[in-house]
Amino acid sequence: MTSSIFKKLFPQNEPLSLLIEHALILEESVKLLKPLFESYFNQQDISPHANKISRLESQADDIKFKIRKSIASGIRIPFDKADFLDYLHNQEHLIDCSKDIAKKLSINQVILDQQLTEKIMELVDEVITLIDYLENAIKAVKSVVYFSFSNKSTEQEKEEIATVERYESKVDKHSLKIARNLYQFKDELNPVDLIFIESVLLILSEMGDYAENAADLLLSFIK
Amino acid sequence: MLIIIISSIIGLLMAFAIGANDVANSMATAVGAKAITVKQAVLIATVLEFAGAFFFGSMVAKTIGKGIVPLDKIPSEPVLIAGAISAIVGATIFIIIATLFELPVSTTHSIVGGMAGFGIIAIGFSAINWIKIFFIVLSWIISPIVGGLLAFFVFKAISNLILRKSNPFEATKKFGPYLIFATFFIIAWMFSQKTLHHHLLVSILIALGIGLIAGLCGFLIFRKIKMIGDQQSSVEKIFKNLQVMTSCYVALAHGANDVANAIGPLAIVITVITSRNLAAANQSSIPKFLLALGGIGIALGIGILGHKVMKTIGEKITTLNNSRGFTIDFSTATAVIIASSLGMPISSTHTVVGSVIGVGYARGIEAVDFGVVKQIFLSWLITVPAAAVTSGLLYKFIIFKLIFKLY
Repeated sequence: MTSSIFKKLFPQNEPLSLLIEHALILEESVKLLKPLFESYFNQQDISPHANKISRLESQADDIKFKIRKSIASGIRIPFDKADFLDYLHNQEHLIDCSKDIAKKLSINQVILDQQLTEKIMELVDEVITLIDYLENAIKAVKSVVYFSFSNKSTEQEKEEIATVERYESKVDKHSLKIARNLYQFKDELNPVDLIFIESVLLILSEMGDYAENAADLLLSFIK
Repeated sequence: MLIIIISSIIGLLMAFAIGANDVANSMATAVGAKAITVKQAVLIATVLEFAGAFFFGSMVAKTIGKGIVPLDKIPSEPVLIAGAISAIVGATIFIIIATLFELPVSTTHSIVGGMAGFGIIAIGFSAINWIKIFFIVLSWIISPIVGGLLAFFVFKAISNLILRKSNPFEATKKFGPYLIFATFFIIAWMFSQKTLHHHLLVSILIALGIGLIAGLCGFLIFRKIKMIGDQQSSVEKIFKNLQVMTSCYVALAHGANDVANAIGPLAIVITVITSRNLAAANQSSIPKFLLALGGIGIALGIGILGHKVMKTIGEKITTLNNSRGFTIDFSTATAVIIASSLGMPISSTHTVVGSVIGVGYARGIEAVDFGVVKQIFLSWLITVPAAAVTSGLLYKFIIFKLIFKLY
C-alpha cells in the first residue's frame, strides 16, 4: 500500500535523466561516424559500424518510449512538456541521421580525391564536437534545476547553448565549402556519385541544424 | 483481566503494524535521499517515535478515544469496551484488505471510521459527535494542503536564500543555523505548551531559548565545514546533516500523531475496566503507561518489520536529494506536530504526499506524479465508511456478545 503510493509519487524514471541517457547514446552513435567514414574511404567493410549505429538507434527508441511514459499526464516536470518533447525529437532526428548516413554509405561505394576525403573527415569531426557541446548543454540543465533556476546557473546554460550555436555556424559554413569543392570534381566524378556524396554532406549539415534547434529549445527549459 | 490482556495485545499489534508500515512512509524521504541508512532510520524511529508517543501522544489519543463517540452517550460499560475493541479490530482488518489491493488508506482514517461505525451500530447516528467528525475530516483535507504550502514556501525560501545565491555553499552555512533554530523552536514550543502545559508566552520564551542554543550549535558546527568538490555536493553535504535532524523531527511528530490510533480506544477499555465506571473514563487522562505501550509497539514494529518496508520505499525514491528531502521532512513534521498538538488525528502519509507536491510545484523536483492526489481523494471517500461498516458488523455480531459474556 504505502510503497505503491511512493512508487507512483516519484516516477521510476526521471525524464531529464532519461533525456541525458538518450543524449549519451546520440554521442556514441555520432562518434561511430568517424570509423564509418574512415572504413568507407579506405574501401573497407563498413557493416560492423553500421550495425552498431543501428543497435544504438534501437536503444534510443526504447529510451524515447520511457521518456514519453515518464511525462504522461499527471506528472509534473519543471519544464514545458511540449518543449521537452520537441527537444527529444531533435535528438532523435540526430540519431536517425547517423543511421541514414550508415545506410547510405552501405549502398554505394565512391572513390574520392584524397583532399576531398580529408575535408569530409574534418566535417565529421566537427559534427562529433558539435554533438559533444550539445550533450554538455543538456547535462548542464540538471544544475539549473538543482540551483533552482538561479541567474548563475542559467547564464552558464546560456553559454553552453551559445557554444552549440556558434559551432553549428562553423559546421554549416564548412559543409557548404566542401559541397563547392565537390562540384569542382563534376567532370571527373560520375554524376550519380556526385549527387550521392552531396546527399551525405547534406545529412551532415542537417545534423548541425537539428543540434542548433535542440539547443534553442534548451533556452525555453531554463525560463 | 482477560479483556485487558486481549485488548492490550490488540492495541500492541496495531501499534506494531503502524511501526512496521506507517513509520516507513515518514522516514522514506530521508532514506531515499540517503541522509540516513535504513539502520540509522530504525534507531532514530525507535527512540523518537516512542518519545513522540509518550510526550505528545495524549491529545490525539483523547480525540480518538472520547471525541468521536462521547462517553456520556454510551449506555453501559460492555458497550464501550466492545465498541473500542471493534474499532481497533475493524480498522486493522480494513487496513489489511486495503493493503492487499494496494490502496493508500490511512491507519488514522480507519480508526476514526472504526469508532464511528461502532457508535452508529450500538447507539445510532445521534451518538456521533458530528461536529468533531467534521473537523477531523477537515483536518485530513487541510493537512496535505498545509504540508504542500509549507513545503512550497520553505523551498522557495531555500531557493532564494541559498540555492540561487552566487555562493550557495557559503549561503547554506549562513542560513543552516536558522533552519535548525526553526525546527527546535517548533518542537520546544509544542512540548512546552501542550505537554508541560506552560502558558503561551512562557512556552514561546522557552522555545526561543532552546531554538537559539540549537541554532548556535549549528553555527559552530557549520563554520568548520570546508567546501569539498563542487558547490552542489558541498551544499548537499550540509543539507544531509540538516536532514538527519529533520528525520528525528519526523519520527517525533509521527509518534505524537499515530500512537493514538492504537492507544486511544485501548485507553478507554482499560480505564473503564479498572474503574468499573463510565464517568471515570470520561474524566481520566490517557495513562502514561499506555502511551509507552503504544511507543513500544511502534518501536517493535520498526525493529522487526519496518526496516524492510523502509528499504523498499527508500530504493524507489531515487529522485530526491538532501535539500529537497529536508524541505519535505521539515514541512511534513511541522504540519503533523501542529495537528497533533491541536488533537487532530491526521494522516502523516498524506501530509508527506502534500509536501512532495509542494516542492514539485516550486520546480524543485525533476518529476512528481500528481495522479497520486486522485488516490488520496479515493481513500478519503472509501476509508471511513468501509472501516465503519467493518467495525459495526464486528461489534454487532461478534465482539459485543463476547465481551458481554466475559465482563
